[in-house]
Amino acid sequence: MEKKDRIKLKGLVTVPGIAVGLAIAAVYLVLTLLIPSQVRMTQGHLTNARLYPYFVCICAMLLALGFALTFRKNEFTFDLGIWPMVLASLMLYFGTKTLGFYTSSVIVIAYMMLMWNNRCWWKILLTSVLTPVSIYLAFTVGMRIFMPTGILI
Amino acid sequence: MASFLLIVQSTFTLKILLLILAGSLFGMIVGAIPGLNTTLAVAIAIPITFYLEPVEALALLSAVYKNGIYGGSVSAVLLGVPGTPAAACTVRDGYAMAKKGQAKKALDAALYASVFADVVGNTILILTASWLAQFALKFGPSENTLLVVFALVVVSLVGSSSLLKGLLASIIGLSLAMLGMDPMTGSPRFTFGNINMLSGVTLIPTLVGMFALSEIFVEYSNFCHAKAEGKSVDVPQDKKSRLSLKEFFSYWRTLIRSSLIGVFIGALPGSGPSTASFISYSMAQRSSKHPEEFGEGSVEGICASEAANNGVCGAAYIPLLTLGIPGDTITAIMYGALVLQGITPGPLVFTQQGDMITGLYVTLFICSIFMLVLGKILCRTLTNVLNVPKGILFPVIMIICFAGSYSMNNTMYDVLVMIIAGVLGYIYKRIDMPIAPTLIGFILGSQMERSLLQSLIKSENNLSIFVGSPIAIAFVIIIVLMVGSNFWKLMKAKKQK
Repeated sequence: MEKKDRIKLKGLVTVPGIAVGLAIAAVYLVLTLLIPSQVRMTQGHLTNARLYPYFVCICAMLLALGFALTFRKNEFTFDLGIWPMVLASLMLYFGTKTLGFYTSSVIVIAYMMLMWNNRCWWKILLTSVLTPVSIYLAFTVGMRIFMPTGILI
Repeated sequence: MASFLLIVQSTFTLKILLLILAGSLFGMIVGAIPGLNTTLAVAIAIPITFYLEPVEALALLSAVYKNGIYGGSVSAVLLGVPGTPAAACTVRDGYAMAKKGQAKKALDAALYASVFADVVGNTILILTASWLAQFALKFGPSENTLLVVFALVVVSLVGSSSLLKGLLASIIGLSLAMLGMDPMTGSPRFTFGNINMLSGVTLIPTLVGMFALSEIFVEYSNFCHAKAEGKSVDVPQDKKSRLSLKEFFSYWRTLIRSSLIGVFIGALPGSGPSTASFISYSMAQRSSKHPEEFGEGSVEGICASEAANNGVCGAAYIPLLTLGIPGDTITAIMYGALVLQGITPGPLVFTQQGDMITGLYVTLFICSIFMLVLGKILCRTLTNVLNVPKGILFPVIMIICFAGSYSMNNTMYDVLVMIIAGVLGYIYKRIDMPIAPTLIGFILGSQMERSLLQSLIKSENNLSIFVGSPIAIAFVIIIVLMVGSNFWKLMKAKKQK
């Protein structure tokens, strides 16, 4: 148990505030540089279409630099150990595109429950089957919203 | 009068009553579960509103909102863990009473105070909203621009530990609103050649991702590092020790004062039930005849905390409906729900959607009645719900979030937006950046851009338009004072160090 916890605690990454601020500033610097190619000038319009994007991007850049300076000594901890949950959401996204929503949600619920340390097979089976069935009843039968069915067609 | 009665009659349909019942149950259950909050409950409920009439949608969301805030007090009393941040003060006295075997009395006090404040909040909303809306009709483009700036500054100041973080969060919201189409010329902007990006970043999936999905990530992180406490729930055994109405109303001064604090704070953009609850609790303690009982199991303390946090609910609609400015994250989600219905919140709603407004007022009172009835019936049942393991709850929530986001436009693009927003929300929580300013900046971004450019066109690029009317000057002075006083405080604190 202790070994397992140690492995999980390794997922914690500490990032200094200055790096977070500079990263945000860099994103807005890129966006500012992209404005000429991404925002088309409209002929005959009274105001410059690029004015507002420049205003927002430059303000954001300045504030991000302010953040970097103000919180340069702070340290922010990110937990990379959340990857199973991010993976679950991506599995559901790509799974829906290929297998369909209902099939992939059965798999994803079972996977997530295992990740949350559920080992009771009947609970896993019941939850992973009942949830998609309830979604089908509420969304498709009740509200006429058709989720991608994929291989179930 | 006849038309009013007609609207009231049309509001009492079986469908609306069932929606309020479902919303109340859902809100109460989610609010009661520590780790899940009311914002998440409202975000999950929002896809359903797409298929409802505006009044029905607002009835459902209001029921979730009000009962979610109340639900937080159940776990605060029984577990000593606030179900929602707004119930943090309730823990002090509620849990102390539960340990003394007076859990039922504490739950009754929380319920009655919540319902009382709720009714006060609804009444003040009805009395003030149309008057404020008439005033807001005088706003031109420059006043609207300054109003948005004012709202963003207030949200940044109040909702965040640092003004800088709040302002950065606001501007990130404004930049998210910038993606997609230029609202003035209709030409594509930052679409990177992707046809889906023409519609910009979609609101509801962003809300669901930033609140619900990010919460799953945070909870999983807590679970991995064993931060979540596994307390067992004590079912109240003292059925007979109920709170009598006579004893409850003996705290009438605290109830009225706390309700009014809740209403005042709810009407301000940016501040939410948690702020109201803390202010009200400390004021009640200072003015109480028995301040020594606070924290040891005082009914008055529970009343102060719960009346304030539920007083916020009705009042939070005031800036939303009259100015089109969502006051907090929950009303921001409601803003999204109204936009989904094709209704733009703002002063014109009162003239264009008068029936909806009257219907909303009626449903708010019905929600209060449902809260009272369900709170009385369900307080024992809710204790069982508190035992549902998160390992079952969160996988189900993820699937609901996914289905809800997809159902907005039947596109997988919205699901991708939700996942990205979820990761972004997680990063926000880790760097202690407030989500509310981003959300409100995102919602008000296009309004800000449109009114800013309209002002510049109208004044032929003359910036003096922003001090060209008494309302505009007042806004400028307030904004400068707020930001200036914050900087002054910071400088003073630095000098003292």
